Formats: sequence, structure tokens, C-alpha cells
Amino acid sequence: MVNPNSLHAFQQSFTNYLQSPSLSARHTAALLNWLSLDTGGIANTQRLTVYRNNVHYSLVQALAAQFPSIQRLVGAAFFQQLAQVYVPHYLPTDAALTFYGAEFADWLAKQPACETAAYLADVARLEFAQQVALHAADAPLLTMNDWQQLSNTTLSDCLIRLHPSVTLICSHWPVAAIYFAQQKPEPAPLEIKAGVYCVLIYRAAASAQIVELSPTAYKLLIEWQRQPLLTAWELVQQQYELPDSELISLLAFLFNLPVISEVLANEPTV
Amino acid sequence: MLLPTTAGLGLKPQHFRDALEHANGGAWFEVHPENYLMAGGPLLAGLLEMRERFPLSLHSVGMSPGSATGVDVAHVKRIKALCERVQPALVSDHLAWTRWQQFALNDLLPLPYTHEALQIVCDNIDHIQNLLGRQIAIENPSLYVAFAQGDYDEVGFLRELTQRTDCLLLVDLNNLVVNANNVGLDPYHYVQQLPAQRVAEYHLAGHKQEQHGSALLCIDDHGSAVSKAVWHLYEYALQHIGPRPTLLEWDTNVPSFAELQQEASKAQRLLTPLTATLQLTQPSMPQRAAQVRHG
Repeated sequence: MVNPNSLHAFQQSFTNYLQSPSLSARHTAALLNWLSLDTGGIANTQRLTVYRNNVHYSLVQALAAQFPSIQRLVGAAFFQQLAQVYVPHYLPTDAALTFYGAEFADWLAKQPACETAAYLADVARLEFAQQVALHAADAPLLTMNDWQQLSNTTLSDCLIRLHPSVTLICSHWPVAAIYFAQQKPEPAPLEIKAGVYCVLIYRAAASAQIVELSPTAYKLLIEWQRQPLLTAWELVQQQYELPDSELISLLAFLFNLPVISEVLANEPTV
Repeated sequence: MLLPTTAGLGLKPQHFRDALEHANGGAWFEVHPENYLMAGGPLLAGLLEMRERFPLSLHSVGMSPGSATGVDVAHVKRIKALCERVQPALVSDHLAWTRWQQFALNDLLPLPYTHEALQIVCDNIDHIQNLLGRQIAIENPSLYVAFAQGDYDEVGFLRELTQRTDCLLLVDLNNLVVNANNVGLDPYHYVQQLPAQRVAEYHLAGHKQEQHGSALLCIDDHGSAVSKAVWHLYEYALQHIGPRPTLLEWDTNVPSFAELQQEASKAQRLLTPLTATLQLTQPSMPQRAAQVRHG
């Protein structure tokens, strides 16, 4: 049982007050007993709102900074409404806000208000992947020269490790096109057709890069991390009915992207 | 590397390039470590490049010395890892709590100054200093509420804290002016009561005023030039406590680097005659307050 006069009880009450989605009399009353009655002409309820506003405003701002394209797509006013609902339910667990909003895309997908724009969640995933790319660990990248040093046998049998900055997204919506349209001062209307759209996000030249991938390149990058190249390629071929010659052009494309950090020898499973 | 007894600046990433090109030899900078706890990338690389040229101070807003639920060990260890990379001249945080259980509350929340709170803050600071392997400095917070009961006034609480934990103090003069209005403390008496030998750094900043009926509430937004009241108090602190490394904070509506330098130069003009005198009489004194104990 927590002593109601303890610091523990005070901080629990204060956290409840900050977390409550709307200002409730119950949460405020629990704090008022702690405060001086000499309020200098400004009620303690007003004074407490400074803390509440600081917390909520700074987190809404942090969310807006992470998802500027979502803000443009839905409009600043509606984004504020969304963020004000999101923030009390998703107070950060990390004092570093670099990755605040990690759950925002999944949350957005469940909001009835966003049902008519089902692509929003995946655009949010793309924007968050840019943060991941920007702040991921530094790691070496394989160059064309490194690839040329590998024998055909080694290449066929190896697996790859992608650079820590890399995120792969496969969406029903043209998320990269939607995102790029929002970067223009006056975004032109975009015809949004459902389909299969794949995107690679990575860091190069100290900034996040976004490249649209063919579904075959996407599938090969996913599978090649799990199994040797030739096994991965067989899976891609089965799904997309491609000729063998397609592998050469796919590899030429992937080797020119600065996204593969390492080749790993295939360890036979026991 | 020690913090020089000069005017430093709160550093923003948008000013890295300007700072590298235009900051002078006596410059130093302060950052919130929480903005640089990422694994890699250009922001961290920029900070490391800055550190090659200038002394740095890490001013945390997330170690939460006032939390009744204890210290977030993982967070402090991440700050320790950053300390190992940038070798800061000073590490500091606030007399406040920012964490409740798993939640990081992203504001500096107030504490009642009771015997119980003092014990909790002392235990947490001991824990933080042990984890970091060094002394930290604790900053007096800005306040928007006053508590009905307490066993200490704030400066008395800080005096006890420094004695029991051997921590240093970071005196934010803007916060004292804000609190003079908001909760009625006497900032000049407060400065008189501070243990001068424990003061490692001053903070200067701007605040805004909100009208509530006939009353004013000062909001510590770090979004404008330093007020006259803060400059007066700074001059008083320089006389009573002595010259210390002095940071200009400007965190919202951030102006150009040149404007920040201009504002900081006002502090430098007040510091220079005092540090010149000290160098003539006590060569080690200007840096003594900023010395840190490495574990």
C-alpha cells in the first residue's frame, strides 16, 4: 500500500494527470492537496496545465517532426487532433525522442478517421524508416570491387547482411510516389491505385535515401538475408516466373546500391 | 578537458558548420545528451567533430534524479557510453523528475522539498554518479507551482544535496528570476545562500510572460534574449559566487549562430575583467569549479 503522503504517491498522481486524455477533475484534485494555497492570483489548476501543456506540446511537435508528409496529407489541423489523441496513450518510454512515434503507423492504421486513406499508415512507415536510416549504426559497405573479388561459387553460396540503416517496405499503395509528391511546394493530385509497391530506405551522403524497387528485387533482398543466393533466387523465380538471365541484371542493380554490408558464409544447419 | 570560464553556447545541429567556422578559441558548447544517443549517423558524427575542436558539456534532461521509482539504469549507461566518446568537461541534470516507472515524461517536473524527497534524490544522484563514474552538477529548476508543505526551501535542499552526495551545482539565473515571479522566492537571497565552492556553471536564458487576469506567469521557454532582471542577477552572482563557465541557452525560436554569439558576448564582457583578475592572483581558480572527478 503506497503512503498517500509519499513522493511515490505524488508522482503517481502527477503521471495520471499527464496521461489522462482530457483534463479530468479527479486527476487534478489528487494533485491540488499537495500545492500551496497561496497562489499569487493564478489558480493551481492553471499552473498545473503549464506542465501538462509542456509535455503534450513537445510530444506533438516531436511527432510532427517525425511525420511531416503525414501532416501535409491530412492537414496541420487534423494532424494536431490525431497527435493529441496519440500522445497520452503513447507517452515515450525513452527520454531520447529520436525514435518517438515508432507505434504511430500501426496506430494510424486502426483509426476510423483514416479508413478512407488506407495508404497513410505505410507512408508513416516510410517516414519513420528515414529516421531509422539517419541514426542507425555506422557500418562498412561492400563496393563493386569487393563483389568482383568473390568467386562464382562463393557468391552462389553466400548470404548477405544489409547495412543497419536499411528498411524494406512492401505496400499495397504507391508510398514512395505519395511521399515524393508531398515534398513539392504544391503537391499535384495523385492517382492512387492499389497494387504491389516496394521501397528501399537507406542512408547515403549523410541523409536518408528512398529508392523504389521492383517486387523481384525486394523479394531477392529479403530472401538472400535468410538463405544462399541461389536458393533465394529459386524462390524469386518460382513466384515471378523469371528467366535465369534476370538474375544477372538484378545483381548488377543491387551491387550498385550502397546497402549490403557483408557477405556471410552459409553455415550448414545441424 | 575543463570548461573554460568563458561564455559558452547551447549547441544546435543547424549551427555545427557555423560553430566550426566562426567560434573562437575560448568557445565551448553544451548539448542535451538525449539528442545524441543514437547508434551512428551524421548527427553523432557532427558532435564528435565538434568535440575535436571544443570542450563540451552534457546537460541531461532524462536521468531523472527526482524519481521515486529510481534511476533508469539503461538510460544512464547510454549517457556513460556517450561520455566515453566525447569526454565531456561537465555532466549535469536537474533537481526534478522526468520519469515515472517506464514512462519518460519529457518535462522537468517539480518536487516537494521534504526529508523523504531529499533522501530519494540523494540515493538517485549517488546511483547516477556511481554509474557514470564521475561527479554531476544539478540545476535549480524553473517552477510553476509551490508546495503546501516542505522541510527545506530550495536552496537549503540543494545545500544538503551537495553535502550528502558531493555533487556540484549548475545555477540557472533565469530560473531564479522565473521562480521569483511564479512562486515568490528572493533570487538575491538564494544566490547568497548557495555554497559558492560547489557552483560549476551558470545558465542564462530568456523567458516569456503570460498574463492570467491581473497576474503574470513566467514561462521558461528559452525563446528570447536574456532579460534585464537576469543580467542584474548574473552580475550579482559573479560578485558573490565568482566567475564560472556561463552558458547561453536558446532552445525555441532559435536565431542565427551570429546572433547567439552576440548575446553570449554580453556575458563574456562581464566575465572577462573578473577572470583576468583571478588569473593574476589565483591562476587555478577559474577552472576549479568546473573540475570533475573521473572514476
